[in-house]
Amino acid sequence: MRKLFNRIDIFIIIGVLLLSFLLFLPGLSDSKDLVAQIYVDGEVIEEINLNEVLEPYTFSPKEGTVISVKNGTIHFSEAVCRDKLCINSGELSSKGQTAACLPERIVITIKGADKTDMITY
Amino acid sequence: MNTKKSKTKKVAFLGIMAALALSLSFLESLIPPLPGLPPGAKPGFSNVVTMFLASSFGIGDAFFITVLKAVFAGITRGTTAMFMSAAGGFLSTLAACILLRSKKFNSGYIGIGIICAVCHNIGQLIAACIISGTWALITGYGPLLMLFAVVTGFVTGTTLRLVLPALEKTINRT
Repeated sequence: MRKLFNRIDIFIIIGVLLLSFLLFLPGLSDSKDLVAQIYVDGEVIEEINLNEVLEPYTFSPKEGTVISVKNGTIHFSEAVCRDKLCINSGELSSKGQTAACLPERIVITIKGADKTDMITY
Repeated sequence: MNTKKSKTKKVAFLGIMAALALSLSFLESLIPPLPGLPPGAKPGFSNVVTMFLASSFGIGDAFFITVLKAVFAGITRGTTAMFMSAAGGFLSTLAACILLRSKKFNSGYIGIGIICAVCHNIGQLIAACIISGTWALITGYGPLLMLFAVVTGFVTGTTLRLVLPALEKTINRT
């Protein structure tokens, strides 16, 4: 029978932690703007700069799904699916946070607006 | 397990394992979403069952339970959940079959538990990206899911090591 834990396991743990860190890197940016991207069916349909939202509002990218936007935060507030995983993701308010409604193919992700974007705009 | 006499017992034992895997998956679905983690991220206790079957019972039986889990997810939680369960399940069961049966790969149970959990999460992440058509999910959920896999893999690997002697005794008696 195998052991419970040995030296190889330490390398496995380090490897997985490294993989986690590598996946974390592309999400980094030095900007302070919180920009939420809303994907529907794989396409970005809307980009909202959450720092520039003054009045809270809601919108519906697909029938039955409602997204609420406030200054600095965004979240799914209504969904048609059974498990409501997207609503349970809660409010997204920092870079790299993601909420997804897979049955409806809607994804919200917060990226940090990078400098090239700001120049283009 | 090679005599004809033991076939009935084998079926009965596999039935108990199936019931165990399904009830563990169901119990996990009752856990409320943990703050900071992607909702739907679960400890994966039913992986202990498939890992045990993969190591000591039969590769086919391990995949049979994996398919059953996916069908169960489909019935109780919908088609999306079925695809997610199947994608994660197949990859982690495959890893369990290869690693636990390998004589050369002599890591501990914790290491194998972690690799299986990572494979499970990678499978689900890829399935989620394909379903949503959005690869942004990899950087969105990926880092946290990998960290979470270290914790859950540690728990499932340890559990497997603890229950394995008792389960193997049961198989040898049948």
